[in-house]
Amino acid sequence: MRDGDDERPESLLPLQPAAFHILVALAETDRHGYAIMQEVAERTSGTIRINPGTLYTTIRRLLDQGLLVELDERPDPSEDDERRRYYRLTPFGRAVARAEVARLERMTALARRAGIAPKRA
Amino acid sequence: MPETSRSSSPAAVRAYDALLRCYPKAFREEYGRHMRNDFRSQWRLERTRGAVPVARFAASVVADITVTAAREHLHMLNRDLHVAWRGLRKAPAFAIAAVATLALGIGATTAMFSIVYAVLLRPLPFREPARLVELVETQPGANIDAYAVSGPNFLSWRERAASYDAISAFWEDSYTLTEGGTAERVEGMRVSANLWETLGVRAIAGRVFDAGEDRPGREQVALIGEGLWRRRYAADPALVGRTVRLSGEPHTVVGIVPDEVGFTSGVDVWVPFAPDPRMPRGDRRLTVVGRLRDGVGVAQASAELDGIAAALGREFPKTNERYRARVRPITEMIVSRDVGNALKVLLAAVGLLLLVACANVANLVLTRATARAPELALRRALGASAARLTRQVLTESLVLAAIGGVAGIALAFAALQVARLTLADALPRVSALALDIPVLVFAIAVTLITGVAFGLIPAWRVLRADVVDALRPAGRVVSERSQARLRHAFVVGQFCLATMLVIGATLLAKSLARLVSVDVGFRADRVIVASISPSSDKYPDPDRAGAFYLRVADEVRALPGVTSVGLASTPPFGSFWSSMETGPTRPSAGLPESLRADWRIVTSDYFGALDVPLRRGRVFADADPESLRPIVLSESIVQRLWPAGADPIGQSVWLGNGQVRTVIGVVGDVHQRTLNAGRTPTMYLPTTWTWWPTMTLVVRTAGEPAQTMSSLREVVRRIDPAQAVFDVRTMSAQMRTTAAQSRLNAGLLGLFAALALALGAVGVAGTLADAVARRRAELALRMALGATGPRVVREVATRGLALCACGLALGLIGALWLGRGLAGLLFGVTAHDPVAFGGVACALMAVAALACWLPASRVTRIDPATALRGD
Repeated sequence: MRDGDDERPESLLPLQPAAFHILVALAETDRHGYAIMQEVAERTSGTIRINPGTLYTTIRRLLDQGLLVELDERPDPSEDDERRRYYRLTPFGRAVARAEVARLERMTALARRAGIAPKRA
Repeated sequence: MPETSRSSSPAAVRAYDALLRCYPKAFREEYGRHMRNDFRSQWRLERTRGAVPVARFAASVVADITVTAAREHLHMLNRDLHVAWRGLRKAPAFAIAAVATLALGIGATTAMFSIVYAVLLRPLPFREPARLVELVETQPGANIDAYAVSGPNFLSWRERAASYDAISAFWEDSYTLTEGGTAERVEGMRVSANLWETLGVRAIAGRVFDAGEDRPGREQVALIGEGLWRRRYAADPALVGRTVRLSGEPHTVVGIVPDEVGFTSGVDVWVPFAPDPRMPRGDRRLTVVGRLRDGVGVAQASAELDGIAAALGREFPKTNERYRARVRPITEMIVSRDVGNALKVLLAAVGLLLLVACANVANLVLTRATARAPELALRRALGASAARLTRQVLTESLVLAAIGGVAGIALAFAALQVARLTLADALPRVSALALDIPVLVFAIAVTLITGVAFGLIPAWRVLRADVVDALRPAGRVVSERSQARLRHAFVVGQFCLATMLVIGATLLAKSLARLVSVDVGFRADRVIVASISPSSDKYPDPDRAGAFYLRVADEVRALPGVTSVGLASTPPFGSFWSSMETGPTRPSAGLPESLRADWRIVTSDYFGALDVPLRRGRVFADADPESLRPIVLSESIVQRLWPAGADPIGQSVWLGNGQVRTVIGVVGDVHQRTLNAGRTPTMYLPTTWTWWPTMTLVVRTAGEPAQTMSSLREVVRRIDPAQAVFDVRTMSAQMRTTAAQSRLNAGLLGLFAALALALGAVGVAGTLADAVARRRAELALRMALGATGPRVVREVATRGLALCACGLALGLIGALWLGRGLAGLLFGVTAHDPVAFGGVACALMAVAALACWLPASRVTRIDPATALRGD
């Protein structure tokens, strides 16, 4: 459902926070929705929580934009053995996540020069 | 996991399931199950953490669903709109044609509705207007259902009737307002002091009249209308408390009141008045309004009033014997039944136009849907749900309707700017004409309904088509055949509606032509009328006023280009009428109503200035003494007075006011009141009897009257700058005003009919062109097999023409039915006028023939070889 394959990653920036967290959660491995929710909570020490509504409307948009793909459903034995649908980051999705990170770094550098962010450790 | 948690989970999950219904169906089908699973897992986890985290989680879930569900709906809408917009941009000719057609239909309907709303539907600016009524006298024997009321009758009613909280009377008057050296003629109303209480209207500044301010000695107060206050006094609040002179009399301004209380036209000043019980009971000139007591209906009040009138008839047989009374809603007083009917007919007509426009657009959409049928069928075969496709086809229709609606509202806005300037003569209450909220709501509703109406039919047709059939060329022929039937029905329907409108417009146009070419009985071109009303402080008696009038007349007569000048208490087509009974012998009881005639006071030159023909005897001479008691009659009253044909000259006539006069001459009848009311039997009285407080100059000029009109004002200013000249206009303009309503009816219906016909013709031509394009191969084959081009053209055109003829026939029947509504608006032509019906039928068939022949002739341009190879 992507609108044209020649789209540049920068054209989708800035990302919504929820979208960014989902992309990051999928960076290392494919996950199903609930695993993404848990991963985000864990990585942020519980400060960021994504509810199912935000999760799946964002996933729907990321699928439309070609940042994710759906995989076949399979049970997750660590949960309740219900069949769950897994998601995987596409190369384009990875490129977009990188571009967002670069954008955030540039912003941070700006702030650092202005003296309102801690110096790099 | 504790037992309680396991048993409470399903309840929470069920609640979550219910909340999931907030999402669009497609989204729910795709993700609902996963969301539910994830929720359940998270819920179990939170349960283990305690009550507070669970509550926090539940709250965040509800908030999350609210926000994301709304966003998802917007997203779907946005995507549908996007797809629709892209589709329309790919078919610009279709989109432009559809939008233009819709804009015309919606624009015309909206403009017409805003007129109807302003005049008929907008709530009256009174407290509980449904309880306000007008009380009128009636004369059942003469079939007159609404007479003005005499002062003493009003007083008797007020004394005896129990149905009202308050009853008030008023009558129109006009004054010369002098204040700060400039004189201005202003519209006035003399009213009972409690009128404001009756109507439930408050002053904008200051106060309204106090009870008792209409009693003699306390009347030197006035209220100023908002319009005059803003125009002349720049809305200065200090006007309250100041003294102004009205026709010479000083009045203290006690308040400013809103303009709209003037019922039909703006009233500038309001002066209190109480009828004198000693006034003649037969002098009927008051308008009486009342506020019904809570719970009293019009019928009940009417019955009571009629009983009182019957009793008064027995008590005062001389003046009241044949009179009864009734009560009618105040809306009927403000908007006459004729105007109401005309507006309803026009609204119905514009509704027909909108139907034609819808049929046209439905036709266009259908053509497009047919072309897209394989695409849509393919999408269905690939799994798109029927609901999804319907939604998309409908979205496209709604997008078209929305663009058409916006353009239509813009069109209506422009039309109303014109209407506000041109309709004031023809309709009451048009000053309030605007695209206000109810009108916009109406326009949006019309837009939505049209969008759904022309969108649903093709959507339904396309979806009903069998998927496999639609994809197979042979199947397409079947579905095309059923669609052709639908399109033929559209053509018939459009032609039927257009025929009805064109016949209606033709009848009204013919009626208007009759009306404006009426022989009014005098020569109306190059005549100026102008009224003067000398103030009573400087001209306290008729003699002094008369001298002023005569001096003005003399000086106007001396102006270059003026050929003759007369004076009359009211000219033909003037703003008021006065009538009186008369008889050939001393009346024993009352005189029959058939012997009632208009009367006016005129100078000797009046007949010459208007070119009213003298039939017998002579007109007044300046030297006639009043002791001669002369009177000049018009022919028709002479015929009624002396049906046997006796010579009227020298005969005596008895008048309703008790005078006996001698007939010295007979003149031709003229139209005194309106163009469509026929000529009026009239009695002319000389100025030697008396002068009227307002007299109208009737000035005939040799050349164009425009120059003389300004010099005329100059003359009056030179003689006495404190006196104003008013209602200065040409007689032709005055007559145009009386025909304004008919002109409006004919003009608007003509416009609607022309648009409907144009749309209908375009619809027929488009349908045929499309049919020719689709039958290319078949037609090519036939020509290849030997059929001549002209023969095929004739065949195609004839098929279209047959449809038009069907529509025409149905339209003629429809027009007969429509004629019932039109009958009341027609003058000099019947609603079933065979010439109009025949003429329209011929003209429309000619239009249809052209609309059919143009696309059919394209058949000859088909090259058989290419066409056959192409398919």
